[in-house]
This record gives sequence, structure tokens and C-alpha cells, in this order.
Amino acid sequence: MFDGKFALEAMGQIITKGLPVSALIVAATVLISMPLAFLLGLLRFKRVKGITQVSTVLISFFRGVPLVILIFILYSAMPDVLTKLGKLYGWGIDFYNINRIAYAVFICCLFTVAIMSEIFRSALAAVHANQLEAAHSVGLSTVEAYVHIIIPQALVSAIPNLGNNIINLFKGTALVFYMGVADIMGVAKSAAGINYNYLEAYVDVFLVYVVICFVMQKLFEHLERRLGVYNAR
Amino acid sequence: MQIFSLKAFFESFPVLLPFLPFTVGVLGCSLIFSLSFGLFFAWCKLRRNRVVRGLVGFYVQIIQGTPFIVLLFIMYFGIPKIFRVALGIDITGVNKAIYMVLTLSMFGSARMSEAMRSAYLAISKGQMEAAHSCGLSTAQGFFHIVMPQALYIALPNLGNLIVSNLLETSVGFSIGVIDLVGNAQNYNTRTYNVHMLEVYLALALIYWAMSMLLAKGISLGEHALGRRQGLRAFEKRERRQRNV
Repeated sequence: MFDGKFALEAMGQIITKGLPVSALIVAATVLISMPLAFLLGLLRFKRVKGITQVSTVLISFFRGVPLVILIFILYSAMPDVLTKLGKLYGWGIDFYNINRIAYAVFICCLFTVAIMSEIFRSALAAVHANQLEAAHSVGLSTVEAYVHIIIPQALVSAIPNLGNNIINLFKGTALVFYMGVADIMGVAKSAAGINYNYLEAYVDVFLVYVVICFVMQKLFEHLERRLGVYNAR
Repeated sequence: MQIFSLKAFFESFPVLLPFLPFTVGVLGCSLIFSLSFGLFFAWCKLRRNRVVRGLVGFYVQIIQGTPFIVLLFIMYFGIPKIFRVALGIDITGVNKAIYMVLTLSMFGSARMSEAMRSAYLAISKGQMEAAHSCGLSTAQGFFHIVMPQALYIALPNLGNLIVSNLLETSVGFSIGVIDLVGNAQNYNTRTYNVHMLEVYLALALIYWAMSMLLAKGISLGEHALGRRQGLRAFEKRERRQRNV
């Protein structure tokens, strides 16, 4: 009924071939999108004129559209569109042969920047206004106050939310197999297609995700405890 | 060949929209189960019985650690197999939407139970003690005093989870459910993928509109609850100025 031998073999393949790809996508997305999201959150917090309105619309779009649809739009249509634009403007790039992982990272970055910028904005708003006043009263300029006092406090208070969203991002990358990326789901699906052992393959994927999400959760809890040492009780 | 044809974009809406009620129906059914089971699981996790707490905690932990599509595939491939092997019944003819509602209920109830439990824990015990000191029974104290406050605290989180449930319904096409996205895939196959970008953009717009409507509905609910609780921020403007 349940092909245990296949389940073990597939688990080996998933962990050695699929997991590194998934980890790469998540790591690249986090590295690229965190600074951008922080910048956008800071700009939205300071209510910079043009950027706030445009970004509100874009953020509402990326939060209100399912990730699958975003993946379909960008992967099915963008190579066509970019190739035509490339012919118009004379770029020399062949958009069809770009590694699909780059597309996956691009889409996940868009999605993540939208969500994380809101987290950073609310974290900045959670720092009490009197921190800035106190900084001014000891002679720090606004920029210095932000760099040395407000932003460190904001980042520490944002860590639980950030951790949650990074775990959600990892779960969200399960959908990139629709682009043909050989991540955890992609490897499982191709391994299962040989003898139609779909149930065993997906149970393997399930176990991998549960274990890794549990480990990530514990790591983030540890990080919160370590960094929150100076928080007022 | 054009990059984007506005005509095809507008023409795809009449093709896609007839399947919108189906998606909303799936979401609505799953919400009924999600909310009720979420409440039940939250209650279980607050019991003193360690076995019950441990079991429900384990269930919530593993459901929260899985992507929705993985859970959907396991239900879709596993349940007919269990029925066939253990009970000898062949259920391959069953409407695929049932797997969708079942998985969405499991997924939603795990996450909603956490939101409800944290909202309940945020209410101080003094409220229940004050209720008892006024002569209300535990049940009365809960329904009239604690639950409205907990509901108000939980509502933003629950609203987020409901919108998230809506967005998760979009992967139903991978098991063959003919909802909004499934129908769009069929239409694309019928038209040889000529207007893929327009169809997917139309889908994105439909989902965007639905999630904005849901978010607006939840915020109206927050306003109504907030006003009922007498929170100053939600008082009508004239009354607030008068009371100053």
C-alpha cells in the first residue's frame, strides 16, 4: 500500500538535490529583499510624497494576488515581453535561457519586499516618539538618532514578525516548481512520476517541510531571546 | 505579435467571472469549518489536560509547518488510497472540490486556533473575576464580557487569515478543481496560450478586488465592534467633539 522503499530513496534525492535549491532561493530572496524592504519601509514611515502612494498600490497588489498567479504572470509571459522589449531597445540578452532560479528569486523578492516593508514600517512606528526627542536633547542630529538609537530598537522588535515571514517565504517557495525549478517539490514530482508513487513522494516533502520549519522556528526563537536581552521587562 | 492586447484582456473577464461564485462558495464552506474547528482547537489548547493540549499542539504545529499545496496533494492522493485499501470503496468519482474544502478547513482551523487562543490570553483574568464578583456565572461572564473583547482583538488576525485562505484556493487547479484558475487554464489550453498574459492579469485583478473587498469588510467589522465596546477611536466624530 505505502511503498516504503521508494519513500526512503525519494527522501535521499529530495534532501541532496532539492533542498539546496530551495535553500538557495530563500537565502537569495532574503539577502536581496531585506535591505530593499527596509528602505521602502523607512520611506513609507517618513511619508515621502511620491513613493508612499505608488507603493501603497503596489503593496496591496502583491498582498492581494495569490503567489501562483504572480508566478504564472511573470514566468509564462515575461520572457516573451522582455524579448520583444529587448529587440526594441537592442539589449543582447536571451531571456529564455536565463536560469529559472533567477526568475524564482525575482518573483519571491517582489512578493517579500511588499510584505516586509510593512513589517519594517510598523516596527519603526512602534519605537516611542520620545526616543527621538531624547536624542535631540543630547545633541544628536536626526540622522544620527535614527542610525544609533531608533533603527536598532525597531529591528529588534521586528524580529518575531520577520522570522514568521521568512518561514512563510520558505513555505511559499513550494510553488516555484510550476516554473520547472528543481526544488524540493520539483524533485519529488519527477521522482514520483516514474512509477506514479505520488503519495509517498509528497509525504516525504511534507516531512521535510515540517522538520525544517520547526528548526527555523526554534532558531528564530533563540535569536529573539538573544537579541531581546536589553528589552525592558 | 503584440505584447499585450487590451481587447483580449477585457474579453477574458466574461470567460473568467462565471466561475467566481464557485471559488467564493469553496471559501465560504471552508470558513464555516475553519472558524468552528479553530474555536474548538483553541479551547482544547487551553484545557488543563496535558494529553489534549499536546495532541492539538502537535496537530497545529505540523499543519502550520506545511505549505498548503503539499497538504492538498497528500489529501488528494492519500484519502482515495486509504478508502480503497482499508475499506474497499472506490471514491475516485467524488467532486474534487471536497478535497479543497477539507484541506482548506484543516489549514485554516490550525492557524485560526492560534489567533483565537492568543486573543483569549490577552484578556486579563481580572475581567472574569469582576464578572464573578457581580454574580455572573462563568458562562455568562465569558459570553458577555470576555468573548466580545477577545473577538475585537482577534479580528485583524482572523481577517488576515481569511484573505490568506482566499489566496490559497487558487492552487485548486493542480488537482483538477475547475474554479477561477482552473477555468482560466482550460481557456488558455483552448486558445493555444495566445493570450496567456491577458488572462493571468485578469485573474490577478479579480483576486485583488476580492481580497480588497474582504479586507474592507473586516475593517468595517472592526469599526462596528470597536464602537460597541465604547472605544473612543471609533466614536462618531460629532459625538467625540461634543464629549471633549
